[in-house]
Amino acid sequence: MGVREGLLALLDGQPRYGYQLKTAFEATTGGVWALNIGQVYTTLDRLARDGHVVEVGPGDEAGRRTYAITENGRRELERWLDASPAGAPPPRDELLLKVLLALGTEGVDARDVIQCQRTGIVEALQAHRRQLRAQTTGNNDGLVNRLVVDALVLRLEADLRWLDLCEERLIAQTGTEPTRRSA
Amino acid sequence: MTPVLELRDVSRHYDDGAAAAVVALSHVSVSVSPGELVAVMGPSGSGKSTLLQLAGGLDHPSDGQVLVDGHDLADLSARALAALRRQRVGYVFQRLNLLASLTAVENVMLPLELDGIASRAARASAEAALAEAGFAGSTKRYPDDLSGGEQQRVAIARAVVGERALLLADEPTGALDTVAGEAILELLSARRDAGAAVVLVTHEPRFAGWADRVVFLRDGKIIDEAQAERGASILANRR
Repeated sequence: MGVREGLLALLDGQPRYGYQLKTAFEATTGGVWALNIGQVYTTLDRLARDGHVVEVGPGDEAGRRTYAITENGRRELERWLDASPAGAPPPRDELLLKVLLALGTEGVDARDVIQCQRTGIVEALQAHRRQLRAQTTGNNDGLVNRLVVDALVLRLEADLRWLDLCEERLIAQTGTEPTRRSA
Repeated sequence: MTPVLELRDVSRHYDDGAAAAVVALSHVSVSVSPGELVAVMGPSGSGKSTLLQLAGGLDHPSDGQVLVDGHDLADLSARALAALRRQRVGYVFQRLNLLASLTAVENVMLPLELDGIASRAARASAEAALAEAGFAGSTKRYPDDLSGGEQQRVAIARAVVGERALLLADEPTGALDTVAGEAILELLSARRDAGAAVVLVTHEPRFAGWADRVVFLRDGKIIDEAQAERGASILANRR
């Protein structure tokens, strides 16, 4: 999902051969989405079969084949850019599973599981922040890096918020409200 | 290196005549060194604010010791404690406590003037701290004429003005939007990098990542700690 359209978008700028597409794709996505070259060629074959790209000119002496986008491919790309991602992903991630299983398992304190996950996520957040601080600012891919890190950080924060909510609901449900004074 | 702040086996309970005392903190030990930013997180009522009040000498532990710069606060006279608080500790609390009769810049100058710093020098430092906190516009306005975000920046400038060794912040980004909140964290991080010890109480997951350590409280006890060195960034694997 997305690789096909990513290659189309890169070819929309200029014709390229497989290896160029691989490196351009990885640079565009801030290096967090690695492609293997086999995947690139398989995808190009399918795109060619569907009439979205065509091979242009004879291959060079190294046997590299250059591809260009077709009108058909351009329309496909536009359709994809405008379409909303199909529905929300099903809530089947591992974090959710761990908490749900902890709730239903005898002898396991769900709040301990929640805390353990919370600590792990916070440590990942700390690592991202350090990485950001270590990065030199002002380089060309600064904005791309920034956007990629923002996306990762916000998703982790969403997980943390959800864990906080789990804990609050658990406290409300079981009535094991901690001893508290008015804040 | 001597920690700037050290809580040794600190408990705080409130005995207000009820049958059972209310326990706000129970056997908490934590120390914060120069150049360290420690975040304290936990559900409401878990003791976060109590911990900060004790650290700042604004409340006394029922048991245990609180040391700032190696001095046990219980051993200090009221006058010495006030001087230590004024000279070494900067506070940003949820209730901002700006003085309504003083302008923005005068509020920030106040702690310096109390220490006998000449008015002209105090004003220059205060203006610089306000600029650092991102305060824009005239600094001669009174708190009532400032937006919530501006008041927050004044409070933060007042906390960091002068060379405070210990900064205590309770939800310091409360009235600010996301980008402005990040600017405050940048400011606290810069003070940390300059050698200050910073304790940040927050419920904002967004800011947990800024801390060198995150201490988690539950029911008045420390139940876990997250340390920056242990985290593995996805970004670390990038080519």
